[in-house]
Amino acid sequence: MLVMRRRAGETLLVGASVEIEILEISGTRVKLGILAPDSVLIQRKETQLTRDENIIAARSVRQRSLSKLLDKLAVKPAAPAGKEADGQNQVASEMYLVTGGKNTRTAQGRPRYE
Amino acid sequence: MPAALRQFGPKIAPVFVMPRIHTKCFGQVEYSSGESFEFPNGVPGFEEERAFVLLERTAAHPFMFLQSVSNAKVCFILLPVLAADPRYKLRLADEDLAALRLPAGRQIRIGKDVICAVLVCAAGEERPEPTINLLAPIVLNLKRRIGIQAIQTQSGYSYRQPLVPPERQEELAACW
Repeated sequence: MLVMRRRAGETLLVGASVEIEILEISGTRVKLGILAPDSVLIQRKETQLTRDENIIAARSVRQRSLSKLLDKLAVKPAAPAGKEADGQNQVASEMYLVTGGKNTRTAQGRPRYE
Repeated sequence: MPAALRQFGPKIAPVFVMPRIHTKCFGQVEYSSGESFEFPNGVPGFEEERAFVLLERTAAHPFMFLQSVSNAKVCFILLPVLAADPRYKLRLADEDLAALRLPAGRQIRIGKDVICAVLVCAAGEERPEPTINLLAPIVLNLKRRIGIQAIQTQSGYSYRQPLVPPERQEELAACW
């Protein structure tokens, strides 16, 4: 890895068309300004890692992998709750839509953010 | 409609029909549009998917499924973050709070203000053991029905954390 020291206001060039300026340094953070052609994708590394991981995660979702996942964790089917009996939203068996997650429903009452 | 019939106008008043989505693993499912979550930017890698529904299945508890409304092929397995790590600290950047339309400078309570869940990568050819992405949890604003994937830049959390810790894997193997 090439290591280079720069001060705020200084610039470095990557190839012929990418220019990176150190705009500001404060505490543990550095503010960068980047000039590059539209064809150059600029993103945070975490975003790229997350993108790759999301794609693999989406591909991993299959009936077979689901049963394997559940077996592995020894998840036992929960006792059926009364809620499923009405079956309003049900098409597939034992399947229902949640409005907020079974155990994470918002408390009743007035809205919190208004 | 044949021209002869058209002059009488529609005979059947429009009735409310629950929209249906095709899901990846569970066939067709009905939902009401108020139940879906809007993802203003999609999620990285799936930027076109702007609406998801959260599906739960008794047999799969505590896992949930985040199914794209417009694309049956896009479905994720979710695990509530506190089930994965009871001490998980969620730190939302200002732009994440803005995207979720949550007020800045206020503590966000997991399970009350938001659902926070991690994406699970099931074991398969690509991944011998299941992993979870603690670096970038899915955060859903329950009231506004908005969702984002919030990358926890400074957290030090892994994006490929083994779902089952290595010591537990041996324990599970011993049970078989």
